[in-house]
Amino acid sequence: MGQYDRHVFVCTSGETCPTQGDVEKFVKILRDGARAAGRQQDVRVNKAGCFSQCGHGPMLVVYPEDVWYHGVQESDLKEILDSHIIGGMPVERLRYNPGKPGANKIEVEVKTPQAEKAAGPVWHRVGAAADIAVNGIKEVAANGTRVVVINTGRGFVAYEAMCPHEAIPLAEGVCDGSVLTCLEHMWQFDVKTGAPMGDAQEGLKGFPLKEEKGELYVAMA
Amino acid sequence: MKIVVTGKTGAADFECDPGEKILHAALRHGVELPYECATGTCGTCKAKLVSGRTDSQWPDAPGKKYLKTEADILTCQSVAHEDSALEVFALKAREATATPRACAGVLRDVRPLTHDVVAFEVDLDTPMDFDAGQFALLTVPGIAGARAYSMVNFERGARRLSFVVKKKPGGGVSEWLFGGGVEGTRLEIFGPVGHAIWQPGTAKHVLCIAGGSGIAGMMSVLAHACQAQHFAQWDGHVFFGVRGARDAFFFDELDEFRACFPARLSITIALSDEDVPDSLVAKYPGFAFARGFVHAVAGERMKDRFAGVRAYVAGPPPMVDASLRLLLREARLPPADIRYDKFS
Repeated sequence: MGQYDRHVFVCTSGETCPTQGDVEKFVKILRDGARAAGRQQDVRVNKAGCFSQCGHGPMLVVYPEDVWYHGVQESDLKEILDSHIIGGMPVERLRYNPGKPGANKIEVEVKTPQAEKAAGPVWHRVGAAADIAVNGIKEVAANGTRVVVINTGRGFVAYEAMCPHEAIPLAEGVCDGSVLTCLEHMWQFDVKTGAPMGDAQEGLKGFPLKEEKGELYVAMA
Repeated sequence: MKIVVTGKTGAADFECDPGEKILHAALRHGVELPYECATGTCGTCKAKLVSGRTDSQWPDAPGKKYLKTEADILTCQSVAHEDSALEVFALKAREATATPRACAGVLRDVRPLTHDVVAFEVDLDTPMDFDAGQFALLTVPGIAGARAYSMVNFERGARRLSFVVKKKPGGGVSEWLFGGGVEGTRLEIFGPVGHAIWQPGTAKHVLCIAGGSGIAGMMSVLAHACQAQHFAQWDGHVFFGVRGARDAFFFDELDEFRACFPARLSITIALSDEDVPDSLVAKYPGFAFARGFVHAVAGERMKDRFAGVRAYVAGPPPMVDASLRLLLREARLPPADIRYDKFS
């Protein structure tokens, strides 16, 4: 036996897993879950490098059972945690079984800067413009990345979903048409540019957004 | 032990005693580390441990949910074991008048104000200066963890601090206070702390939105503003929300403030759970009354009157949250003019 009842490795620094889901958050959710179950002494969750299975992520591995999970979504984590990491029963529906040992990368849309320039941005539909009222803030997923879309009253803008201060969802904040405020600690941002205002020490990362026939699209690099 | 802190706006260092919370050590040396609740819940005091060794005195503090990496700590719950270096977002200049410190006092005069609110006093060993709206951290012997209570009174060099507490089932200190027979107990105190302060010379109208025991800090603000004759020149709007008539307290004290400046200081009572009884209206003819949640009543009655206002908010978290939304979205006040405490 190893040092822990369950030892979990989450790929957080490979080439594709971090683009396929918020894997840093996965680690936090799993750690918090183990702690909430009072198992923080027996469960270890580590961030891991590439498993050389690129394209099948987000991916995590649980020992000692040596069970590999692929295509893991945030909504799957509770089941993996409760059933397997805490309960010892692997979650069969998410088990990775490519049918061949060793490295197993598939080509996914990891583009070189040149290729991307040539191909232009990849637009992802994130919902209907009519669903977001003036000054409304809605969190959406664009190709697995959490993004907030805001109706400023004079157009829509898209930013990273979490306040850079304490990782609080900006969708819980307040927009008055020109300023976006995270209520948690009153960090404020220029809603048109994402630039920090007042106490905020960092700005928001923005994403290109376009509206076509009432549908909103966000471009992911 | 020496603690070095760097932020984007500069660096500072201070001495920390063994067993002393890092936040307390910083504040008493005049180093303004970020904080709001100072009691482990809000996450504002997050810092990154760059070198050294620290321990959390409350490993399950709710504020831990704001920590992003294993190097992050809550300075209000952490003690240092060796010289350490921390990183924070920003160090600011302190706005409050007094440097906080650790002291002690004796619990006196515990008395019920309603069926679930008590008032009590603490006689301090040494006088304390504080700004109206600040709070103190009280530690009761035998009960783990400090509790934050806003001072109700205001005076320079105060020898006695007044507080109110709402009964909270399962709340260690609240149940202990309500249990009786506790007068004469010596308490450990750290203070004054908090940024929801009012200082004389603030050229703004005063808006107070309080729910239940959240009125405590407002009483201090009103006391000081009245002493400073602030309402001779500036408006004061006080909105105090309680559930029903049986939850009323401090009405007589509020009416005394109002009577000093009847032209400019208005008191509105919002009852959330029952229609306003005629007896209450008859007893306090100088007050306005309304049925509804206090933030909704304040939003309605303050419409188009938010210009030049400094707002103070305290109460149950949903009420505070709704009030902040009102003050940001409708009133469009800058955060510097929205003062609230994130404890409770």
